[in-house]
Amino acid sequence: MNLCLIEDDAELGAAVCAALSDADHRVVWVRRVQQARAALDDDALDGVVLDLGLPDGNGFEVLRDLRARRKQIPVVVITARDALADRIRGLDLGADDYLVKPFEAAELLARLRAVARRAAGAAAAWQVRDLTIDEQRHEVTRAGECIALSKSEFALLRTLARHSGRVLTRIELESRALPDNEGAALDVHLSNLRRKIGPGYIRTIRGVGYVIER
Amino acid sequence: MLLVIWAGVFALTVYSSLHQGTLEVTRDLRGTAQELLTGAIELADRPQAIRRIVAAIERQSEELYRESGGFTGRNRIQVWNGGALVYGDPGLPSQRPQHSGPGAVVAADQVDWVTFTALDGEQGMAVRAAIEHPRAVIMRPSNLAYLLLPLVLCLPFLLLPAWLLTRAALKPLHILSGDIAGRDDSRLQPLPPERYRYRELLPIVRSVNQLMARLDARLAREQAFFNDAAHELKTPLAVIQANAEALAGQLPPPRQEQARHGLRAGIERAVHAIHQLLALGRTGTDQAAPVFERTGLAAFTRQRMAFHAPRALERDIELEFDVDDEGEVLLEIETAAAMLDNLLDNAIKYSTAHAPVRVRQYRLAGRLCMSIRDHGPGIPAAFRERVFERFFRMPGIEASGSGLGLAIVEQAARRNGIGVTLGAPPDGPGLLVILAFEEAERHAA
Repeated sequence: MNLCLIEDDAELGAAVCAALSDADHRVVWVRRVQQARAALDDDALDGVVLDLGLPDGNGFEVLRDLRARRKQIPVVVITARDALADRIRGLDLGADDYLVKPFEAAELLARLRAVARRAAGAAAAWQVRDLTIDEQRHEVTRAGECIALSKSEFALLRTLARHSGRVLTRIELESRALPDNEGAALDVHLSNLRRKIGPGYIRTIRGVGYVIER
Repeated sequence: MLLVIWAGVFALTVYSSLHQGTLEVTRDLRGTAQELLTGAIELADRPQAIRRIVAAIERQSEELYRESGGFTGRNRIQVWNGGALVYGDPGLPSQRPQHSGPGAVVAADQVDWVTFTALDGEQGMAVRAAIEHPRAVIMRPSNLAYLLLPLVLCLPFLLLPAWLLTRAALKPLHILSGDIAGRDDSRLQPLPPERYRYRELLPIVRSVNQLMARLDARLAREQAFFNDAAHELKTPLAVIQANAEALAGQLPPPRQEQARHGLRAGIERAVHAIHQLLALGRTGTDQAAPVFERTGLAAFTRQRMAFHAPRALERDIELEFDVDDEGEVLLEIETAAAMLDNLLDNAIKYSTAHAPVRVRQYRLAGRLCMSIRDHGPGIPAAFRERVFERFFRMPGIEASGSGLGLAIVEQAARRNGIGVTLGAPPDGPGLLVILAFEEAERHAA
């Protein structure tokens, strides 16, 4: 990917830049808002990593300007501010994801991949242990063996797999996977899904929600 | 106060002038009217002579009026013979008066006049003498100035001593306010009470001194906390340093793995400590008044539990949430989340592996409550107050915590009007935390 890193701190910038390069990305690193404006005009950019606390201007403004000109480009914001209000503001202004300092380089790379994939709209394949979920072909296989799922069951599995490792509450799961269903539909589809893919994949956190462990 | 007295004196002066003036004027008028009536009877058949004489008298009084600077009223005289007006100002009432005696009339030009009428029944002659009402006279600007002048002149003699007295009396108060204003924020020593002479000032001096003492104690606490916090961060940094140095050297692979693990643990611990310090700052009393949002408590708790569930799964701890009552409360989301996060984090961290952590939301005696029960070592009754202190760590508990978790819980709960009680579960070991919420309706009331 062609990435633009906007980070004023020399040491953090160098480290992130190196980590991104190590992962085979081409990185343009700028340290000032002025330089950022020029760098962001490059049409070949595939993604932006933006530090919100910049010495010669507010990162929020860079983000707003960027969103005004290029709606689609994926942006991961990194910031020292971890208050909920700051996060919400960042996402409201159009950041695709939000990382609070300090963070692991691997986490940044994973988030970048995820937002880039979402921006490209490309269907992805998810792997949960021996379970493969192919979004494009609407196909689920376990240990190479095809499993036939209904549309709702597939949507549930895909949603859980996309957020694997994260617990989704009933409400989150319903609104993302079964937007048109109501009432007990979730329980019915889940129990069918479990029966088809086998036990041990989807865990219930009683009273809270469901999760597919990584 | 002085002004009120002064205005009262002025009003009294005006009133007495009016009263006295009216009496005197009436007496004069009576003399004039009766004398003129006698003359007019003599000259009853010579109206020309009457007119001449009366006109002369009027002219004289007009001159007198001008000489006196207007401090007497203008005179008017009417003379009747039978029903006919022989002489007189047509501005005054034109009917022949029917009775002798004093009276008051309003002339055509809206001026009030005091009159006296002398009547001779046999001859049918009548004389009405009139003079401007003293009220109109007094209210003339020139006369007002005459009345006011002494009062204006005495004002400085009244005000100056009053000012000097007040100044002298308030001097200790001025010294006190100067002393307080002159303090900079680093000087919190008590004010010396003997400097301010008056006993009445002592309560103020004492209160200010008590406030200063409290501030001083608080600053000392903050300073100690600041030091503790800085030192607290040194430990994870030392862990990071030791492991980073080990990694930089030549190590056999198993040691490398160990150092990498140690490095990661040190970083996690430092990050955790910093986040806890920030959370403590956000829940502190120095923050602006909380902004509450109407929140579904069960949904909110579910979200926080979903956030913590992966770590519980890692330790094979089963998280459960039982809801009897969904509940609606007013919460400051940020700090309420910090409170629940710390309680859930502790429950998961201290629970023995493979044991459940149960959260229940229920109503007890009409109050919305939440209990969080873990299967950890619990907190002995003797420590259930002290664990809320910053950097307090329970003796005998081996933990990598920041020592700030329950301090954050306590502060955040106070901000949100939530009661926190620590106890022992009735059925076996562990900790039972009970939260008692203010409900949205009651909160607002």
